[in-house]
Amino acid sequence: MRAIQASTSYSTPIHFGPPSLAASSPRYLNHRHVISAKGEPTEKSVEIMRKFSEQYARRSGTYFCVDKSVTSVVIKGLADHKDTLGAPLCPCRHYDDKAAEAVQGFWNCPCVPMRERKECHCMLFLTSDNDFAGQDQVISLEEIKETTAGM
Amino acid sequence: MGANQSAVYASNGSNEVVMPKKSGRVLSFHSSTKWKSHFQVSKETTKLMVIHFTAAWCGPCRMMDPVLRDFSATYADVEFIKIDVDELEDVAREYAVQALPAFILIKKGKAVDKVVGAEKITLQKKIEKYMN
Repeated sequence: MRAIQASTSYSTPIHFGPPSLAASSPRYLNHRHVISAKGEPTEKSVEIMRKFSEQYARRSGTYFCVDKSVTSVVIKGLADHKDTLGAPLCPCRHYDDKAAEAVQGFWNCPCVPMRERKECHCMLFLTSDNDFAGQDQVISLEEIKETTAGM
Repeated sequence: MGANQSAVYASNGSNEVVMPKKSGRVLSFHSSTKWKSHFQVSKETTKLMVIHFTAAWCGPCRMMDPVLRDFSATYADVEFIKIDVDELEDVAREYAVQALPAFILIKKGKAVDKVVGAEKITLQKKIEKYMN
């Protein structure tokens, strides 16, 4: 059986500074000097994080939130950090230095508490005994778009 | 989800601001300066202040938005504030906010309690404990 930790299918080299990010993120071309926390992540990154989330839910035996908009927002947040930082840093925390945290890796999804104890305070991966756990381990790109439309 | 409810103006054409009973009274701050001046005024009162620390792509934070709006309609004597940690980083740092959502309860300018996570019931109990 594969270990839960062995999930880095989304991993990409971590780049520092705007020039290298610009090369990997089309969105960055318009935001060379500003990392916007509220821009839309690229569809490519959303798809990568969507697939990763499905795969990791299955592998860890966890489920998505009964309210799929929670799942969708978090997947987009991970995609946004992947675009801007090069790593899917947890979007449900405040960091003094996001770039340094992304390099350090503790809060890159799946974070250490999730890998070790199946604790995801972002409510992306919920154990079946959680009141908010739904029954799905799948989420489509359409669902993500629909549930986050107008945000 | 996440839609901001705002005050509506009286239909008689006056500029009087009417807050419908069920509408929320959650104030969002996007500037540190405005926040600081508001805080200075608020700390002179005995009113309980609840700050909801949130982030743009935090799922459980968004889930708490309607809860806070409901609370603001129920607890008229409590002030509800919403702050995005990426917008007002200095405020997030001041209150040592890490995991989100986080709720800091403040009385007379001092933090008296904290709730971390989408813990609706826990938050409600603490609001009721400190509101008077």
